[in-house]
Parts: sequence; C-alpha cells; structure tokens
Amino acid sequence: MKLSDKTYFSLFIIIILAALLRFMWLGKIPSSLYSDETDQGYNAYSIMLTGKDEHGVHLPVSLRSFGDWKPPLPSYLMIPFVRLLGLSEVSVRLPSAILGLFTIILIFYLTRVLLREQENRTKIALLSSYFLAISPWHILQSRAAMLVIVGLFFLTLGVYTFFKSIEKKTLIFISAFSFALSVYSYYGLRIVAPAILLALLIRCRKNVLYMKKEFILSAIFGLILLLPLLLSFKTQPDVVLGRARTVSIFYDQGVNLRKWELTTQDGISADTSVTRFFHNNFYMYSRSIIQRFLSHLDISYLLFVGDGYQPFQIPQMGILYIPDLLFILLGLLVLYKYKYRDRSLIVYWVFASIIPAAFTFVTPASNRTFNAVVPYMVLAAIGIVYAVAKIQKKVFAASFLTAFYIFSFGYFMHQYFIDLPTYHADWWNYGWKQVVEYVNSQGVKYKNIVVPEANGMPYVYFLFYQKYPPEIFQNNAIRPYMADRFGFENVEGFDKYLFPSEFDWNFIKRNNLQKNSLYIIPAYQAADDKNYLKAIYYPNGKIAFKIFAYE
Amino acid sequence: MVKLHLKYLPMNKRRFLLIVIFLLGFFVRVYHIEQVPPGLNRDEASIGYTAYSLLMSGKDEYGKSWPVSFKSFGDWKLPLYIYTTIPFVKLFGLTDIAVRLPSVLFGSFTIFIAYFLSRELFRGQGKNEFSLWMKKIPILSAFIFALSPWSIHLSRTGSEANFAVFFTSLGLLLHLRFNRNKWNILFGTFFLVLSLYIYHANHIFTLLLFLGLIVIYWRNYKRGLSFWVSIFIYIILSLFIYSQTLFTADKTKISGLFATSDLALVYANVTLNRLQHTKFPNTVASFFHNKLLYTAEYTIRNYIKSYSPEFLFINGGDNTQHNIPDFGNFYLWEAPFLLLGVAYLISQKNQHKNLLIYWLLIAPAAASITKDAPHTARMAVVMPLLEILIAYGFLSFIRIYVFNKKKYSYLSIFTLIILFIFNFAIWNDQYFIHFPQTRAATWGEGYTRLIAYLNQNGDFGASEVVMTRPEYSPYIYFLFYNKIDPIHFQDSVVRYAQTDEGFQHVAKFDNYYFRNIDWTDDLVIPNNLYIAWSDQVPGSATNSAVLVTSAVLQQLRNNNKDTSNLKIGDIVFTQKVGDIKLQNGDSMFTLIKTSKISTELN
Repeated sequence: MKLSDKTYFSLFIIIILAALLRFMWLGKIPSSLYSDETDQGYNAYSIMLTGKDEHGVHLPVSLRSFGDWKPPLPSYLMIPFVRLLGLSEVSVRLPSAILGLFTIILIFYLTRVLLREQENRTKIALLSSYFLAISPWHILQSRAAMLVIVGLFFLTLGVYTFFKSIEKKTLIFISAFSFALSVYSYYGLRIVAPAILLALLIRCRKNVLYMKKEFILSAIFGLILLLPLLLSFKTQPDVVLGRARTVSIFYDQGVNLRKWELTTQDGISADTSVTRFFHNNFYMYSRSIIQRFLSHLDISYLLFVGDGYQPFQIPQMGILYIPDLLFILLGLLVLYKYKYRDRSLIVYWVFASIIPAAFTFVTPASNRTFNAVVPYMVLAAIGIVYAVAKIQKKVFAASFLTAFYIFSFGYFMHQYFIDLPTYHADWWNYGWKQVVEYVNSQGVKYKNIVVPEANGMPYVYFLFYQKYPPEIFQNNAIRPYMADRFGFENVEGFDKYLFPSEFDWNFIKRNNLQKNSLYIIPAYQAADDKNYLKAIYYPNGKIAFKIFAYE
Repeated sequence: MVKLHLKYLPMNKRRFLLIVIFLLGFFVRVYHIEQVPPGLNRDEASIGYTAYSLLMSGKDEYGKSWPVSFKSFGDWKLPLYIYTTIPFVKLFGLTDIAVRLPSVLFGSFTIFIAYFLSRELFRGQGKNEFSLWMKKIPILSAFIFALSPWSIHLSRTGSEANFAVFFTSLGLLLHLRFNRNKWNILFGTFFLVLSLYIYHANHIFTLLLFLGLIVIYWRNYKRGLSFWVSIFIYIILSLFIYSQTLFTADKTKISGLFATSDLALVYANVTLNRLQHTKFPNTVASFFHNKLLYTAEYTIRNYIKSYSPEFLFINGGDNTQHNIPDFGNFYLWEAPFLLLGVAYLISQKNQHKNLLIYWLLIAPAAASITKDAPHTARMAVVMPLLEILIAYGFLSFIRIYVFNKKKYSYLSIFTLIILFIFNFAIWNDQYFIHFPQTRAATWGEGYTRLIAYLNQNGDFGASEVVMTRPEYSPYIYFLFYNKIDPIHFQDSVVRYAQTDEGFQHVAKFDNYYFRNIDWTDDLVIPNNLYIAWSDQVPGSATNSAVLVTSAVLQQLRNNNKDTSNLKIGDIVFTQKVGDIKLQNGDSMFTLIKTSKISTELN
C-alpha cells in the first residue's frame, strides 16, 4: 500500500517538530557537558588526530575512559562532527540528536510493519512517531551524548530491517549490521539485542528457513563485525563486561549483609539447614530482582519522580506524560482483546528492556531501560487511536485531550528548558568550561594548578576545552590505574595540572599549600572562605567554584 | 483438553472445606498472640485500659461516663472497639490477649465474609466450563484471605481498621443480597454505619461506599419501606457520630493528619517555590504555588503510591508498626495474579463490575488525603476485594493458560503450589522469628519488661519515679500492667496542656512523673529513680557524685527543685540500677537511682 501525500505531510510536520525539540540550543541545554559526554568528545578528537584514545590504545573496541569502559561507537560517530565543527558541545551531542531524529522516522515504518494486519496502522504509526517526538524520555536522551540513544537507533533499525527482509532478502545484511553495531553502542544492549533477535528468529523461523543462504551469510557478516570485541575479550575481559560488572546486584553486598543479619537473628541454636532454607541467596536475590523489576513499572516513577540519577532527571517530572500512561494501559488491553498479530513481540520488547536493569542496583534507572520507549509509544498510539474511535463526543474528547497534552507538554518544556538549566545546572557538572576559560587567561602566571576531583572528572574538561594535544596527553598523563570504590580510575595530573582525589581544602589551606599555585575549589568545600580570587557562578547565582591563588 | 473433576463440590464438603480454612486462618491469627507482635503498642494498651476503666468505674481516663468519643492521648478514639473489648477484659483480665482477641476473632470471621461476598460477586449465569471455574472463586478467596499477610498482621494487633473491615464487608454482602430478603438492606446499612463507630478512615470510605451502592444499584433496589428506613438510619447514625467527633473535639486531631497543617511541609513545597519567582509579582507566584494545588498534588501522589508494587508486595507502608520487615502486604507470587484479576475484571463481563471498580478506586481515598500514605491500616478497607481479585486472576489463569496446554498443566500447578508453600514458609520465618527481634523497639516489649523489673524491685524504694518522653505516653503501660485502679487514676492524674496537634500528655500520677530529665539538677535530688531511653543518657549520669554546697542548693532552688531532703554537706550519688534489654539484645531503657550520704561539713 502506497502512503498518501497526507501521511507524508504529517510525518514531515512531526519530523520538523522533533528536529526543533532536539536541535534548538543543543549546546546550551543541558547547560553544560557532563563528564561522560566530555570524555567521549575528547576521545573522538584523540582518535581523529592520532588513531588512539586517551589511554593510547589504537582504535579501541572499548573506551577505558574513567575505568568504566564505555562502548566506543558513539565516540566514533562524533569524529566527523568534531572534524567539521571543531571540539564543541554541539559536535559532541549532534550524533545523539540526529540518531534520535532518525529513530522517530524509523518507529513510523516499524509500527506499520508490526501492525501490518491492522487497517488503521498508518494512523497508529504516525501517532507513535509523534509520541516519540514529544516524549520527555526521548528528548532528554537525544540532547545528550549518553550512549543509549545510539543503541536504540540501531536496535530499531535492526528489528525493522529484519521484518523487511522477508520481502527483500538483502536487507537481512543491514539487520545483522545494525544488531552488531548496537552491541558496540551500549552495555545493556549486549543482553537486550540478542534477546530481541532471538525472539525475532523464533517469530519468523519459517521465513528464515526460506532464505537460508542469505541468513547464514548475514550471520557470518554480523559475527565478523563482532570479532574485534570477542578477540579483545581474551586479553582484557573488562572490554565486554566493564561497567556491567560493577553495577550488578551481585557486586553489591546489600543482600549478603542482610542475609548475615537474618542468620544471626536465628540464634546459635538454630539448625544450619533450616537457616539455609529460609535465608538463601536464591530467594533473597529473587526478591531483590522482582522489587527492582517492579520499581520500573511504578507509576510514581513513570509520571512524577523519574530517574534518581541526576543527569537523567527532569526536575519534578517523570519520564512519561500523565495521559501517556493511560493510553499505554489501554493499548495493552486492546492489543490482547483484539489479538493483534505481533502483540507478544511488543510486550516482550518491554520486558526484555526492563529485565536486565532489574539485575543492577540503583533502580529504577531510566537510561538502562531506555529501549522500552519504543514499545511504550507504540502502545500509547494504539490506545489513543482506539479511544478516539470509541468515544462518541469527538469534539469534546479531542479538545479535552489536546488541552491535557498541551498542559503536560508545556509543563515539560518549562521544567526541561527553563527550570533544569537555571536551577539544576549542578546536575550537569556546570562550571568547568568557565573554569578552563579563566585558567587559560590567567593560568600562565602559576607553576601548578590544583583541581580536586569533584563534580565529575575535572581533567577531561581541561583536555576538552584547551584542545590539548592528544599525543602529549597519552604519554604524559599520570595514571595510577587504581579503581576507587565505585570502580572509577583517576588521572592524578598532566602538564602543570594536579587532580588530587580525597582532597580536603580546610586541611590543605592550613598545612600544606604549595607555592605559586592556583587552587580551584568546589564551593561546598570552601563555604566560609572569603578571600578568593574569582568565583564561578551557577546560572541561579550560587557559587560553583572558588579559585584561590597562593603566591 | 484435560478432563478434570469440575463438579461443583457438594454443599457439605464445601462447608467442611470452609471450616477448615477458617480454623487455619484463626490459628495463624491467634498462634503466639502474646509474644508476636512483641508487646502492645500504646493504642492497644489504651484501648485495653479504657475498657478496664469502663468496666470498673463506668468512666474513661478523663472521668467521662460511657463516652461515645474517647479522648485518650488526644487522638479521640472511636467507641466500638473499646466497648467490644469490655467483655474480653472481664473474661481474661487486663491482659494482652484480651485486647487483641476481638481483632483476632473478627479478622477470622471476615474469612467467611470473603467467601460469601465473592460467591455473590461472581455468581455465574451459565453452566459452561468457565462458570464452573468461577464457582471455585469463593473458596479460593477465603483461603487467600485466611493467609493474607495484611489481614493476619492487622488481626494480630488489636487493629480498629481490621475490625472495621468486618463490618464494611458484611454490610456490603447484605446489600448485595437485597433481593433475598427485604430486610437485608436494612441490616446491611446498619453494619456499614457501625464501621463509622470503629475507625476514622471509614468516615470517608463508608460514606463513599454507601453513596456508590445507592447510585450503582438505584435501578435494582426495590425502593420500599426498608430502603428508605435504611437511608434514614444511615443519616441519623452517621450524623450522631459526626456530631460527637468531626464537628467538635477532634477537629485538631483531624487537621493534624493533613500535610497542609504541617508548617514544615508547607514551607518546603509552597513558600520556597514562591520565593524562586523573582521576576514575577507575588500574585503570579501564588497562582502557581498554593496550598490547594499542593494538596491536589500530594493527594494524587499518595493515591498512586497506594497501589504501588512497593506497597503491596515488597515492603508495605512506611509506618513500622503496620508492616513487618522485608515483606509487603501480599505474597510476591500473588502479584501477577492480582494484575490479571484486575485486567479480567475490566475486560470481562460481570454484573457487579461497576461496584468492584468503584471500590478499587475509592479505597485509597482516606489514605491519600492524609500525610503518611501509603498507609496499611487506612488502606485496609480494600480487603477482601484484592484477595478476591487474586483468586479471580489465579483461576482465570489456570483455566486459560494451563488447562488449554495439556503438556505443562500439572507441572505449572505444581510449581505454583511449591512457590506458594515456600513463600508462606518465608513469611512465617520472617513473622515469628525476625519481626519480633527487628521491631521490638516499636512495640511494647520494653515497657512490659520495664514494669516487671520495677515491680520485682519495688521501684527501688524511690520516692519519685521519673520517666522521660511523656509524648510517647509511657504512663499507659503503667496503668495497664499494674492494673491501676481507674477511679484512683482519674482523681490523681495531672496532665500537660494540649499540644498544637491536639495531643494531651500525662505529667504525673501517684509517684510516677513523666517529664524530661535535667541531667545536671535532677541528679542531685536524692532517692529518685530516673528511667530514660538508653540512647539519651549521658555517660556521666550513671555514676556521678555531687557534694551539696550552698551554691548547689541555691541553684536547685532557683530551678524550682524540691530541696527539702538536702542539706549542705550531703553527697548525692547516682547509680545505674538496671538496663532493660529487648529480645534482640539492644538496651531500650536505662534506670538510674540517686542516693544520699550525709557528711558533717560546715
């Protein structure tokens, strides 16, 4: 079925809207680069100039970065933008914004394929695309270089081309390519992508058998793409596991501690086998996993509170609009009541996105479950199309819904574009750019510049905003490669910069000041000091950093 | 398709099964009732002593004869639970069991009501396979209710909320059976309105439920004499209790429950936000940030929390007395079936669908508008509906998913049974072993041991026994466990002035004083016994010695202390005479005795 001009026009409007929401003020909102974004940007710069990352690894399959082993694809994608636009906030965030926009187009085509037996599928597809365009969750991720948005694009592309390869066999290669690349973009996808691929294979097993040759070739193609990762696993297992290991609930000791506490309460006389029966790892971890799984479905989390981790937070708002949730639930009912063809796949996608996150601590986590945004938006579109068809008083319903959405959207716009950069700039490590600018103009006078490690990893901002030559940094950085308790590895210094960790300003200033040095101290450590040389302010007028000089 | 014995169980077997379930439910509600929860909480102690006081003197603690609303600590308790406790106190004496038994009994009786109510709600029309499955809902509901952690825990705690559940569900049941007997509706209304005499949260819930019943079944009710009489009864009886409570004394108590009367919350959520508007005039700021909007906001948040998985299945509410550690109000395995039950309720046909959805929607009302939601006791009115829905979801699941797929049917059922038994075992361990140890400090165990220790040692011959933290109402435990003569207490008690939240605390009766201890001056008064929470006792207090000089005497007189026993030259020393330990080994109270040695010094 050919799409009508009207459909294309609507899609065009949605794309324009989505683009506006994603590209406007990309460099200024969020108000500053988060340390992870900055680091990826500098790695892209480093690879562009020297072919090596900041650690001096040639074309890395995983960026060691702060010791958290970032998947590399998003950084590679930044290279052309860094080449064209220079090292700036915009060039770092552009790949995310562009792929976010592409996902909005993709979801339109994907929904049409998933609901290919439904008459109103084009309408539903347009609405899914529209919902994704205005989704706070998706906008937030599109405007930041935070990995998951890249992963989602390739996952969606992989699923779409997989379905399409039934009609056009060669597309299976693009599918294999996308699934492989998604693995290079985000840790979570190393579980989610295979899980979804498996479901697709089971779902389309007859079609796959029908095109055995293409399928086997594409599988080999995909494996070849994954080969660098698999090979480096042998020498450095962290390349594959990396951060995923330190955030898992099995790494955290909470459950074990509780188990010991309960065992102690049983008393000495309690029989060991009985104690083990009641307090076993299986039950306690299951409970913890179920709790974490359910916390992602908690309505307060979805609508009002959102992710607790600051850069993924919109102040006083969740990750969905209030009406979204109503339509998602309705969509779910419709899906099963009218027995939609690929209903299980849609629901499976939600579960596959959430379950891996249930095995990590600090939940609910909106970024780890980000892949659920696609099925959620499809469900919401199904729900709203059904509701609108059912309601008799169309004008009333339309105006009510419009008003409700305008209100919700307006609230989001206020919270994200005004409140967040004004009152919560600290969530995004604000202030380093201004610090570096000051140091660039005044720093020549001093022999040492001391920057205690706080509000993110400071060294990377100096590299980024000074466009520090990568080949020099690769060789001269002082790196002890000691992980702290969160698994992060610090850079202790380079050039004339020192980045002490565990730095206590109140102690240092009395006992241990170095001559001819500039000290850049976060305001909370130096709350009472008045004799600073310069203060760096947050947009709301509070002080972020105080800069002290010791001659 | 597996052929099962889907015959409806014959009447006598059904009855037998129901009785077995009832006995099982009663057993888990009454087993070790005196040890778990560990000791009475202060409301239970107050209920018990008030019943005793009425029994002995016909008056409450304040000397009011046969009141309808009891001031108690200033929380204005409703009458019915207290009056019901009187015969139990008569029978068992003033003991823990006498206070808890009414709740245990009525909580257990609710098992029957869950059975009959679900039978009424899911009365199938046809005689197909589906209706046969649905006919098993009542017995399964009764079973799930009998073993529901929510009901068991509230039944074991002398809970007014649990007591009210019996009356609301019984009233509802009779209402649904209005076409059997024209007087059913009258009795039903009577029981519904009785719940207003038990628990405050029902003042909102029962009203909404009654209005809902009338609106939903307006076409069905035969609007004859009994209908109008029951409405009349409802209005009269509810107006009577409202006149005794809502419109008079407990206004302060009621306003204290709302977030808008908490100045700290209002400042943080309204005033602070207004101050951020620097560019706009104050009217704009007040338009966006005001108490009304704030109330709406937190009501919605609370409402949503009331059905959150965290509250239902993982940890329960925030109040440590209403839940046990690491356990929700339902078993974890029930979670998917509750979800299914609700989904089926919404999507399938049912003659009482509107009522059930309405019940689900209004149940969190009382908890939502108050401060500390989600609240296990205020949400209790949702029982036994959720249990019934779990049974419904479970049976629908079994029918649709298991018995259509021959291969796995028995395996699935077997797995579910194992899961259930395991979960129940874990609950038992958590409830009877770990809960009393972890939460002993929130219950009355410390007081019980304290009073036993004091009695054993004759108060150490102290002339004054001073205990700290009068706001925790420790006096009630002395009354309860020492069975203080009510008339004597009513005459000798001295109370503090009422606080802003409406509480009124006891300052003294007999030689028991309830006030905060001044750790310098008080330790110089000889022959007193000081009882303080162990965490607040300064290290120097347990073994100090003070030589009384004229300066010391002067200072004591300036601070209005009784110095009649002291003269210059006395040495007053303190001595720790005991530590009251809880069963987990933590020390709760520390007892300090002061004594005097006279020396000749001029």
